[in-house]
Amino acid sequence: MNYILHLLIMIGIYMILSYGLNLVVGFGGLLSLCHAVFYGIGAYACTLLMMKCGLPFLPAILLTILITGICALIVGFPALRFRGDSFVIVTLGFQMIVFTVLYNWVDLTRGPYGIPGIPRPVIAGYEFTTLPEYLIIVWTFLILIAVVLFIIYKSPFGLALKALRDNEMAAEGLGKSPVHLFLYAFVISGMTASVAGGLYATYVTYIDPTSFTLDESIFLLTVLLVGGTGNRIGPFVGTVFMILLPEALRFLGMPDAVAANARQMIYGLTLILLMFFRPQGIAGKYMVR
Amino acid sequence: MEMLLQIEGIDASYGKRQILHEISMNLSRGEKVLLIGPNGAGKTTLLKTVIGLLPPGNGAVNYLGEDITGDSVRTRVRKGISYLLQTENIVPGLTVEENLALGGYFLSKQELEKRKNMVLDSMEFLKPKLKTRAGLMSGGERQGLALSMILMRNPKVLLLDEPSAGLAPKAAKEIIERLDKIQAAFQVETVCMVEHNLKLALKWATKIILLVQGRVVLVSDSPKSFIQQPEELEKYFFEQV
Repeated sequence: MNYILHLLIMIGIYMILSYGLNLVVGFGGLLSLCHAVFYGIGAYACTLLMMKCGLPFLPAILLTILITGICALIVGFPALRFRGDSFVIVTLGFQMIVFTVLYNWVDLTRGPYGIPGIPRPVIAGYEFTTLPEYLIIVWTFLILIAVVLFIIYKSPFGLALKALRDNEMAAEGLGKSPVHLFLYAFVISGMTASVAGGLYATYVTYIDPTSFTLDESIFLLTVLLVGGTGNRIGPFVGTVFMILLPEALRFLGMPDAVAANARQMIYGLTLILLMFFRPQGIAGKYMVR
Repeated sequence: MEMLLQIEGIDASYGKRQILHEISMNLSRGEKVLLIGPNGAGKTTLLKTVIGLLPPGNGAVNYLGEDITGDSVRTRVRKGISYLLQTENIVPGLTVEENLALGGYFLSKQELEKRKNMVLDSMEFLKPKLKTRAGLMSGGERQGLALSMILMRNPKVLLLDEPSAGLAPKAAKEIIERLDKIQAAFQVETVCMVEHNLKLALKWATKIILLVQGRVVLVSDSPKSFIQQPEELEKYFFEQV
């Protein structure tokens, strides 16, 4: 039972991440390779605010959202001058810079040693410690974020993002400012990732920089590519598929060393097959180029 | 006639290549201006500079006496200037209805609905296709949709870049003949159109501006004389280029 609850918690955290990323990748058509950075900044900011500043969970997560939003603004402003491959490379550069900072700023982040003993969330005097309690808190945040994002997906802003994705020149000619709209999407996406980061940190109670590497950014992008982008169902399908796939492999009885490699190979094979047979993802509408 | 749009000594370049050289022209209320010239003359560049997609190197654009040279496209559109791109002027992945909503991006929900109905009354062929993906429509229908999109915001000045581009003769005729009705129905005060189909466009225009190699070489208030003497135009097209 605990195992299933753990999976549901991880699915909830990854759905927050993928729904946020969907705004940039699926609606904006921008391939971002630094989503794990905002996830990481969220995890570290929330942890440090709780442990060093003594803030309770809710104020800490609100400040975390603000801090990550500012970081996304600082990154997005220069990055969104670029499109296509150049944008991907700029986000890749940012991913590498932040990872290096997290890894080497030992005084703040404890670098490779990580931060253990992160306190569990306490809301209105109640400490969420057990798995069912944590499941409730994660899925409550997921539902709140999903509702906000679904409203954004449906709003004129979401429509303008899709227009910029499909025909930037036409949208710009109609008075839509690509830099501004993409920047809003990038910041919102980063802010949602920071919530996932805060939830993850307080769930596992230990974080280190290796949880927020380029591999994680690629994994998040893969979740979207597999599930499909530009709609509400794609990120859900992708998250469930990508989280449950390696778990399914556990039941094949392979040794751990083999299973880890098999997991990577199956991810790779899944992507290749998808590109051949369903390039828009299992439940996607928009084909990421 | 009251002057709406005043372009003063505009220079514009793509990188180091200068396309427009000190272009000056005025668009007054009620005018239907036809901008003509050979390929590469700078017609599209001029429209892009006026709408703000391309910043001018020198010169100024004034709208209703106000300098709008530094304004963004968004601000100019809000002020009442709308621009129809030559090609790829719709979003093919969105439905007709979504494209129209995109055109009326700044409007409130009620205003959007009201404006949409008004536009659909003028472009009746779009009514049964509201839920159709725009990319699935014919070339003529797409141009009609593109025109509808820019009409969603109550524009005062329309800048049209070859609305008949790529259309069959019948569809091209329909679109240009529709312009007068649109101008009246939507109270558009001035239209400036780039068009290569002179046979159709000369009948429509009240003023002609001829652009050659990024310079204005002729401004005429009597397009009818060109219809009677097409060799006048040919002279500019073939001898000065």
